Amino acid sequence: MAARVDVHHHLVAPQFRAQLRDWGVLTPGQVLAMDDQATLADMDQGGVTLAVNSATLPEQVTGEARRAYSRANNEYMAKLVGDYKGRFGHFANLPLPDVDGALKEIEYAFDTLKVDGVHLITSYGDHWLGDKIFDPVFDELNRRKAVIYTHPHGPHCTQDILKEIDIRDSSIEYGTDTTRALVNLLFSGTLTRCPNLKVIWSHGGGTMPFLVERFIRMEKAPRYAPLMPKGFVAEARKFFYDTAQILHSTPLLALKDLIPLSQICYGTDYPWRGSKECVDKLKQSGVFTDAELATIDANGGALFPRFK
Amino acid sequence: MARRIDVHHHLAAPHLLPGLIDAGILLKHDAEAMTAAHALDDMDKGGVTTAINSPPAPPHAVIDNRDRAISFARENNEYFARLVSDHKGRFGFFAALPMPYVDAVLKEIEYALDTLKADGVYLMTSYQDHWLGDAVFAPVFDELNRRKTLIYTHPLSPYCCTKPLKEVVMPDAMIEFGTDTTRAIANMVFGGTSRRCPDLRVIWSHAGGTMPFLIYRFLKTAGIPVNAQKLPQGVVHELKRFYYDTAQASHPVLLTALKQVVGLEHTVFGSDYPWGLSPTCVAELEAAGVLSADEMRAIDYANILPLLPRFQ
Repeated sequence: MAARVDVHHHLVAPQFRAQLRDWGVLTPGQVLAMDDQATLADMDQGGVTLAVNSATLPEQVTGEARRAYSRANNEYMAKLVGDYKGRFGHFANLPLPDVDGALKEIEYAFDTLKVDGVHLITSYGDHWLGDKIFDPVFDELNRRKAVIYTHPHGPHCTQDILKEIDIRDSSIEYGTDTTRALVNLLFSGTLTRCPNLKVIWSHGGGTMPFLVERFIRMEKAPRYAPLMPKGFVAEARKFFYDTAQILHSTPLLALKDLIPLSQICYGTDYPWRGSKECVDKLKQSGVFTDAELATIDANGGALFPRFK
Repeated sequence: MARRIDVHHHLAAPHLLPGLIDAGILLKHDAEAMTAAHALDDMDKGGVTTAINSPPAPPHAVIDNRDRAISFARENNEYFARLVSDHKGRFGFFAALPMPYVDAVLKEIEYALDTLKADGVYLMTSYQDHWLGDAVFAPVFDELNRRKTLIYTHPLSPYCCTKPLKEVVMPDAMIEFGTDTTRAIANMVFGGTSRRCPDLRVIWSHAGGTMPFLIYRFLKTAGIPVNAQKLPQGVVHELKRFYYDTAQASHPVLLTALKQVVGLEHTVFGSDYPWGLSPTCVAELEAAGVLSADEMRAIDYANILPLLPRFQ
């Protein structure tokens, strides 16, 4: 069976699901969809051979509870990896912005639970990835040559700012927050300092592909030129990008024009989207040939040694 | 001679330039370029026959002070009107308005359009974290709709998102401007203003901010029942009624996305002078390899000309 690896796949440990539903983070239907068998059924429907899980990190969980939330989700996901051999991978949840807690969890997750990478949010408390407060975390992840899967949210500053219309923060604010983090990681010099990291950006890179002209104009500024000797686009082409929530020919074509096929990974955003819908819409977009789609399907697998 | 009309062209009354430098809106060399003589020189080099002037984004301190907002608008508008008569055919202007002070805005609309004969008005995408389309601005849009006014919009970084990235030195124009345009587009469409005011003609800067790349999200948002009811012809129909300028948006990825999502029938040339130079903009648009000669001509002037009676 041809590999189809979903790098954008959300589950939450069972003991937290009711709480997330009550907070409005998950709908009742999404809670049901997070059941093991329901998840596997959706994967089978869309031909997903391997899903790499990441847990939603609601900001209502803070302090010590956050460490416990990360640990419990990581143990749950490690169990899934063991219980369903070959079907699930695991991006470790980290209790950031608690740097000490994150460093402890990195050690446990990699050394004991054998995770495939870590799951970082694009910003924590209005500090974006690349902010110096996170340097110890990036240095440690770099030492471990980690895969970092990133996911946006609506940072405090932009939460629910369009008060008069019915629109989710995921529609506009998520995309921008991915761009902020991507730019901050690159232009802060974090990635020059940490060259071993492999970073996956959600949703086709947020809004970066559409703002690329702005960043190209900045690449020659004396402050930034040493960080990107071959320019911004050469650096952008080193990242990985998933296809979650960009199931339309326009963003897909923009991504294809800008980023080599080897860096584009299949992602669903389960349980917000089903795997078959994603497969069908990627094909219907007409942007990729079947051979190119097969490459995108398989790309995620190459990131994880245990699934090679 | 082939025509080229630049709808995204910033000048300001000379006595206001030092204040804009102090507020961090302009660098000194930006301000030095913002004279009629320098602007005309750039226009000649880029084949721009007419530029429709608008001021740079007013600083928050101007927006927050009613008297300063009123004088910023009035003094720029009188200067722009003088440029129109001093350089026949070379300049038009989008009137600055003392937003968010609605009563003062209504007075300035009357003065600018009736007395100064502005070609349209200039609105920022948001004021004090209220986006275009919010109910507080309804009287302004109703009046502009009644007059069938051409509205040129420009983004700023709203309070919520001013200089969010502390580790990097970059203007908010890089990321935050694009998003603020997208917010305003969403607010105008999903809030119902664009359908309530069908005679408005709205130009969005920079190829629509980030909207074309987020089109899948717009389609999903339009599927929410309360939004679907407001948009019987769908969200793309509304998006196609708007106009989009090419300022800071001549990369092939952007032009292709814009063409796919809304077509090029409402795409109009913009340079972003003094931040963009017109010969560079023209060369980049041609080099993008996306636009046919006919499409380039339409973008240069044919798309916008029907909305600018004084230059027909």
